[in-house]
Amino acid sequence: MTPRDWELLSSWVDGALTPDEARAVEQRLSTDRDFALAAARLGSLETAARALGPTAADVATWTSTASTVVAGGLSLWWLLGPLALVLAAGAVVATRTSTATEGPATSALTGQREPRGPAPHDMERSPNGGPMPDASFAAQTLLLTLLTAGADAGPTEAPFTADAGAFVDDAGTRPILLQVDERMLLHGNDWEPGPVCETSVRVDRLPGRQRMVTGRGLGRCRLRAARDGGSRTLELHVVDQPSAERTLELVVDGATTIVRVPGLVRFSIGAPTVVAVERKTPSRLGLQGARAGTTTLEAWFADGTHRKWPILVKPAELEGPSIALKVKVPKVLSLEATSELRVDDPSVVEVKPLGKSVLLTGLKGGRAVLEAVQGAKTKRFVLEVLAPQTRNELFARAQGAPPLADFPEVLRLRVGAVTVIRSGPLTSFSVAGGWLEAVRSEDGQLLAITASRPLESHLFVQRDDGTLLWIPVVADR
Amino acid sequence: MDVELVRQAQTRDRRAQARLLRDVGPLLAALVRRLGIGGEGADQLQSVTLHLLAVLDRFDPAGPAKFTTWLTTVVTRFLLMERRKHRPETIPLDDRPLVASTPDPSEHAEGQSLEVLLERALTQLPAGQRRAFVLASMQGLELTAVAELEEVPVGTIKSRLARARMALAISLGPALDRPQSGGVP
Repeated sequence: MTPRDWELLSSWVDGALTPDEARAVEQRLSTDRDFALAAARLGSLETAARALGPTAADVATWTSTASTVVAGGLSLWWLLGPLALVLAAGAVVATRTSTATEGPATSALTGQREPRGPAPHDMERSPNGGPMPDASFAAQTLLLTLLTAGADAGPTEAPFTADAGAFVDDAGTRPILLQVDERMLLHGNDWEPGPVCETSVRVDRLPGRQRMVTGRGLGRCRLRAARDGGSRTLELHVVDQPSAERTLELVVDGATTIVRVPGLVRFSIGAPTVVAVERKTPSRLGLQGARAGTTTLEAWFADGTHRKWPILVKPAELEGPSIALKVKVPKVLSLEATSELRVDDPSVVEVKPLGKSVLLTGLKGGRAVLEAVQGAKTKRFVLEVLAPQTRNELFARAQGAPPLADFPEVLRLRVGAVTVIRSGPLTSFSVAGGWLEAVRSEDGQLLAITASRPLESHLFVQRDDGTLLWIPVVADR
Repeated sequence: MDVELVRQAQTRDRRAQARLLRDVGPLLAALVRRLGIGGEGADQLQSVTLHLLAVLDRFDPAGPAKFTTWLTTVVTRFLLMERRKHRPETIPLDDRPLVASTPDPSEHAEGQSLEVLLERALTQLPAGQRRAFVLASMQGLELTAVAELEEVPVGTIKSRLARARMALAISLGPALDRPQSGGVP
């Protein structure tokens, strides 16, 4: 059997031969024993190959890892990698489905048994009587994908819509997994573990392009992911089981707040028109503000206790991001479904509607507020126009510039202001993030650095003597 | 695959998406294991899953393609893109020996199912040949579709497939000669 013979048989198996070629092969099959044996083996091989689906190991890989990790705690994340949360959807659903039909549900999140009492609201079952899978809850981990503005999107700002429903537990039992772009910068910290987004969450780097967000303390914050062309904001809530005394504050149409209620038998909401309550899992309720007002959430538990939580729903105040502009350099802002645009100081910025976008052009250095009316809501953007400065102007205050050695821990900047530091002879320098700019004076002794928005980033400096400096930069208003 | 479930998942119904992932998860895991880049299976499986959800809208439930066929194509294309980003070597894979220098499989064939032997033999194939065999023979993709995915002429795929079959037929020879009813439990 030559390679050519195998190629002929392979084509014959695929039915890719002409009728004449096929007849020739079939004639040879009746006379050439080796050829016939090879054909028979190919036939068996094809049959076996078609029957070869996912193996038991594939099924186990898909279904078992998530529940193990969820029950096992944070440390297993590092052992088992980022697979767990993605698999949570399938696995937790499977777990929920099977346990709900077999008896008292065991929460994969807390390990607590949650008896299914004969309550007026039988929370363990869906309206059609079947088991209530945990799909919507688990699937959130899959869907929190931060997408960036495309590389060809030019200066277009990505629409800043907070992904509702993003939450993490303060204990880190339900972290959020983010799929990020390699060039994306998370709030200037560039994947380093550490405080991000105030102090309520931290971002850890997982293998590949995965990042994991875990809670550090109770609160809410916005995690910003930025790259050249724009940025995205993800609203995060770090929540715990609320105390009976604490008022839950929600925002109309804001992110869903998840409260943990292990052992919940039934609940009642005073004013369903103010707050929409959805049972996400047997041990969690999702609350979303429907209209401004106050109401009370009451819950009855399996151990006979009864608790109340006052709820305050505030009107929506959509605060858009600060947008940095340069004089005479237009920038496009995507604004869909906007019926009216208002700018408080037209002398600072020119605003021109362009279909579903708005063309913003800085006219002079300064600050203006742009309000975009979108239905019943108004989104507000702060526009900061940076006045052009020549290199000489940048270094005009160089005489009193402090040396770089004075910033051993952190370099603090004021947004829009230029800070000049005496760097000494440098081989190279760079800054992390698109909102921070640095320029060196012609004599190479001074470094001017400016931030166009509040940020945390880093200044990297390589001195002529070969030493590397990595200086954290914090810009505030 | 339940087409209605796919339709629901396309509406971003998270429950439907989760059920769909539960159904196709093992297939995704198998494809990643057989076609992916070695050593990054968990990462790839996650990336593939997220990618699948991102492009789910592009599947036409009323179209001629089966969902699993479409899924195979999408996953393969994604893995190939990933592979190109992380191309670890510059020598053509098909220049490797057709049959790996492993001990004679017939020595180990006794008592082992053909599936197990075939899975093991697949791992010994050069990557290009393995993908051609997995996609054409196992997943049932047309040769033209495989060629389009691999961005090579159909003739190249035919050649890779023939080499893969030859290597597998030789290495699995005795096992393939067994009666299928007894050899495949």
